[in-house]
Amino acid sequence: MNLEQLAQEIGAHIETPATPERADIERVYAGDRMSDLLGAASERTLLATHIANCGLLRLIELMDVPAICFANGATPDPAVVEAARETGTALLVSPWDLYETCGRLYAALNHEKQRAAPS
Amino acid sequence: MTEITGEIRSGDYVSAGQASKRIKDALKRIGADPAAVRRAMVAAYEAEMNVVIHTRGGTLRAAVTPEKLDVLVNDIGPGITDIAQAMREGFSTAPPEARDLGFGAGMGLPNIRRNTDRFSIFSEPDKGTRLRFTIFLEPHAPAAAYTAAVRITPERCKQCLRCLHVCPTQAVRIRNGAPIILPHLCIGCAACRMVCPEDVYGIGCPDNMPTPEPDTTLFVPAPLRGQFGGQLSEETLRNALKSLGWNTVWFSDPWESALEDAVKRYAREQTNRPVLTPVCPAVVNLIQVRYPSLLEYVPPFMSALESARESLSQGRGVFVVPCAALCTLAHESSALHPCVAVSPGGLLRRLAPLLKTREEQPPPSAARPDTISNAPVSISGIDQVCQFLDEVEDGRVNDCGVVALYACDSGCFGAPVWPEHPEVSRYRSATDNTQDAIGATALYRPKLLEARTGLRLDADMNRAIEKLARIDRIRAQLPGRDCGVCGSPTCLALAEDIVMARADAQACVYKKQDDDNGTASSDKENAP
Repeated sequence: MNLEQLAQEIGAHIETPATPERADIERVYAGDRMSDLLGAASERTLLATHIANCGLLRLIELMDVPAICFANGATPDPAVVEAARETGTALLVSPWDLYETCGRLYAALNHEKQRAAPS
Repeated sequence: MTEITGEIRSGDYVSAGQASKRIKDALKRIGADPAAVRRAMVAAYEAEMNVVIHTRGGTLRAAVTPEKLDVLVNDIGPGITDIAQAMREGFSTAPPEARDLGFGAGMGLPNIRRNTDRFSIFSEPDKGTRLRFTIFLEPHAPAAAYTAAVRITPERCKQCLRCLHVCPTQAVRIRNGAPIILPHLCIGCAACRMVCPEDVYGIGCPDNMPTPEPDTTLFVPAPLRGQFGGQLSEETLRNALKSLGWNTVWFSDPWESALEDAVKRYAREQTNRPVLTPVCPAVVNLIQVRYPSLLEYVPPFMSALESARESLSQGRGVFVVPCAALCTLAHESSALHPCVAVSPGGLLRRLAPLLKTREEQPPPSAARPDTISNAPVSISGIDQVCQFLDEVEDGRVNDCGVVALYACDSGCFGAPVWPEHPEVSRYRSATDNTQDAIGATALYRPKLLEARTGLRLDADMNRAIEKLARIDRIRAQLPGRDCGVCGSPTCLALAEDIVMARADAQACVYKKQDDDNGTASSDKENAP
């Protein structure tokens, strides 16, 4: 799903935009352990997390993640924003808690899948 | 090959990952598969973070070749006292500041294991830890890594078919008058070489020794000491090797003893089942190919040669290997400490004139070398090994404790490469010098042994089932003599070869005769 559309549907604010070729999301993974996020990263996976500090820097630099969504309206560390700008990773800030954020992401992606599937 | 090095500072959470970033840039520039790059990044970054969180600092070195990425991470720190425990998911000793950043959840080492193709850890308490891993850069590279380390001289073959029938995994075929080996089935035992009257088979590595360099380590198997017409002390042989330029020599004995000790400790926790010591890599390969259900009976330790290979901390390694299975292991080395295998012929020729006149009295407290039979049950010879593994697989062996299985009769002393009689060379190899001057250890094997891939008939299961049915139909039409005249070891193997396009549909001479005489008409209606 197109990232801007996805952000709009879940009511999240785009802090840093994605590069166009990386704007397509197929899958979401939520977690707060760095090892889990590293292991789940892929070129079409949006990561949802509470971590907004500089621990995320390398995840952004090394793993080619298209987008990260922060729960609870958390604002990412300036260094994280800077790194995301450089790599073209989108940063989303969701006003909802992680549970609500994931529910909305799930609904939006699932809705699109059903529309895409031949009836 | 291109090399990348980086410092990792203790507690520096912000700059950690810079070495990983450089590896990533190198991999991207050479066009490595994106999935491989991602796996490399997970492993490299986790390794860097481990150094930042748990140690007093360290270094990362990486080597990129067209096939693979080799990484070596050394640290100075407390070491890991129980590697098995550290490998368990969720086990962590990380401080709170690491956890605040999302690290230290006890998933680092398991994550490295999951994302690498080869992985070893060597750790000394209060000194530090050395971690090595390899990632193949092209998809499916691990499967292609089964290259049979067997050398064939086809023009010598007289098609006696003995090798065909003796191979425990049916890996041999005779095609166009000479043997070929199916690499996904070959386990590197010497069964074919042992029965061949024409010396068609050899080890797939050179037998002339490379020129020694100052930082090269030479690894020699214990049976080498028994090949010179009398008992030799380790010191005498060491001096002879030194005169040939080999200053750093590791004998296999202490590594074998270390493995045995580690397995004995491990076996105390295991009850009601045999513990299959990984002493002989050909037997480990056999279990991976023919008895995958028994892989969990093999304790998680590396073989003597692998532990030595992973313990090299400087320069290159030269491994004198008595069989193809060991030859393969020697070559599975990191590009940072490249190892080569040589078969013993060249070294024997160089040493013979130096040692001929030096027959010695047996050393005072001559101990038998450990290379066999210190385990409660020791079985040697591929037939006996298969018979035993069949029984274990059938659930008929629930005792025995530590079991040592060797593909060659009399263990490594009986490898066909040695000129001396196995028991004579064992007697002569007895050494009084069992002290472990080089700190030989048995390395824990963090990656579990897996069944070999490549045994499947087709990647697609539907097509595989279809092929299975065709194999059955073709087999039903074959005479069932298992004579091997067609070049496949059994009628079933021929049926599979026909379906897999490895043999001609008309390869069976007896079926052709019967067809020509019209005696097998009843089968014809079932023809595919």
